[in-house]
Amino acid sequence: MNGDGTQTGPRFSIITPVFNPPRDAFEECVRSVFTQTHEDWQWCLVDDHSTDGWVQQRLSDLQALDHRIRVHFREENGGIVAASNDALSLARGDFVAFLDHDDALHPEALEKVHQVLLQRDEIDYVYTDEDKIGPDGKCYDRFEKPKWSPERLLGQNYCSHLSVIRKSLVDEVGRFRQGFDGSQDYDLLLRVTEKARDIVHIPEVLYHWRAVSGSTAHAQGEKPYAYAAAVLAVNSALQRRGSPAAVTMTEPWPYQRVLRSLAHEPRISIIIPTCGTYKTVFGVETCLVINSVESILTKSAYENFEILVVIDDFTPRAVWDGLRKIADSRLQLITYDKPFNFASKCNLGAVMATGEYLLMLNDDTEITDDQWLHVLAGYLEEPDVAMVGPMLLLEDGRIQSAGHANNPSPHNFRTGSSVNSPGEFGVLTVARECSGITGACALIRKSVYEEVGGMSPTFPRAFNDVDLAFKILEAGYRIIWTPHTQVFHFETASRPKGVEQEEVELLLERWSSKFDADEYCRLE
Amino acid sequence: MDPSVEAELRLQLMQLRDHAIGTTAQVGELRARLREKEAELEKKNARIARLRKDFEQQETRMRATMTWRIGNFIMLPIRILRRLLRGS
Repeated sequence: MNGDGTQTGPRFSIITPVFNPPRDAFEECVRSVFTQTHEDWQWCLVDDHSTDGWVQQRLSDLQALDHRIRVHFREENGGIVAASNDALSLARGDFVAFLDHDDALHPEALEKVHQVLLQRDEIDYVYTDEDKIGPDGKCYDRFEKPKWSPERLLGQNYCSHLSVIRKSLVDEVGRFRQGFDGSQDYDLLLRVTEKARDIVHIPEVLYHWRAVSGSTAHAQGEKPYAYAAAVLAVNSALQRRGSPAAVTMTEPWPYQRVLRSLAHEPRISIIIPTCGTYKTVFGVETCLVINSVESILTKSAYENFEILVVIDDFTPRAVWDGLRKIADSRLQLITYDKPFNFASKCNLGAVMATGEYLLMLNDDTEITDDQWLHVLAGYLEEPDVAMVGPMLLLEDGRIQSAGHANNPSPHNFRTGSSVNSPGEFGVLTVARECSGITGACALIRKSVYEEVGGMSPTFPRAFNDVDLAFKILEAGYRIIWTPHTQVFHFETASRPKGVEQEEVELLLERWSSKFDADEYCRLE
Repeated sequence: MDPSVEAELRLQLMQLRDHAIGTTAQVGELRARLREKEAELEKKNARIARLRKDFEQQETRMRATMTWRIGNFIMLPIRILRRLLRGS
């Protein structure tokens, strides 16, 4: 755009590096560009010295056919990064859209992106949903992506196709970089999203990714070098951001696990409301709260924590004595002498806490991972993350909660699923933003807990964690769920069963517009 | 200050904040519902207006037909008689 708002070039430059594409697929790619309802585009194709005879002639024909098409022929093969950067050098559009030589755009792809860009001048990056095209030409594997999720992007390149980025921003970050082949686009997106003023997701499938042998769309095992490059890209991103972390590839599914290093151990106040319930756990009659506290004290490698057990005054003496027996100086017993109200108990623990972080923990939990507090606290190193929760497991090892989801209404996501399942598009394998975390195990910044008024006593039994999460999101913070540490949650009747109708009604009065509108998890 | 008094005050403060945030959320939901209902009402009113216009056009076309005019002429004496009877 000129300074006076008039446009000098086309709105969009489509960037396509070409090297020996499958002929049918390439023709479909060509058709998908020519049938765009939005016509203000330029197509920048760079042939990376293809060896198939037909390619160069076809590209020359296309250039002659339409003045909007610009083609450059490389004199030697330079790889996808070199070819992509050459295509970017040809681009004159305000925005660049990346299209692989064997993929296809939805006919309204550019028009829909254009309509979004008209909403605000600050939008620098738009990404859409995508699906795959099989060998039979049929579309499948529709990926309904979440709204902008920076943590998830560190775990997987979920944005991918279709990505449309402001050209000046691509140039500013240095375009594609050598050394990240196979994940060069991921590396670019990580750099772009660090500087983008506004990022928008269009929840429609506007890009069809061809699943051919040799492509990662076809199978996870293809292009192993791409996964190594992805780890490198994420490492590079975290170093740029001054966020020390260990980045490894998850097994067997090739995503990234980011475990942030803590400069120091912030004090964590672990708050456990209880009335001393007993249950058979792993075949043994167990006092749940004693079991939970014992597991924390014996298993946690983290040192800077305190435990506040908010205990009903009618709790049997044996439980009090049992807790005192295993207690060290980090354990405090706080008497609760009012009618049952889980939220009030948590709030009482919170006001007595001395920690910078609060960890709400049910008494029917058990810790097995000595790094659990390090892993959780790592996410709170990001200043806009307010709450984080782990993968919770049932006694039989299946998932009890993988965070909350709100479609069609608030519930624990993927209860009963196998812990070995990656979930749809890695949803159970990567740390990601979500709409809530179960209060059974949730680490929260104390300042944010107080800012949003803690758990609401108007939800004495249920939905207090759902309400808390909505308040946190409304205040502009992020909530993270992570599969990278696990806690057992035996899900007992350690509190009165059932949900009061008035709690349901109050939740609807406050938050009904959030129901069936979960932007982070569009799955049910 | 006595720690238990301080704790109680902080609890009350949290509760007040929760109440304020919760009420704001409730007002927001009510406003959203009101907007939905207003939009619904506008749609219905627009439909009524369209139906009324259609009806008027149909009525005009009907009155322009020969059948209507002949029938109207034939019924004229009866209409006059009715008016006279109503008048008396």
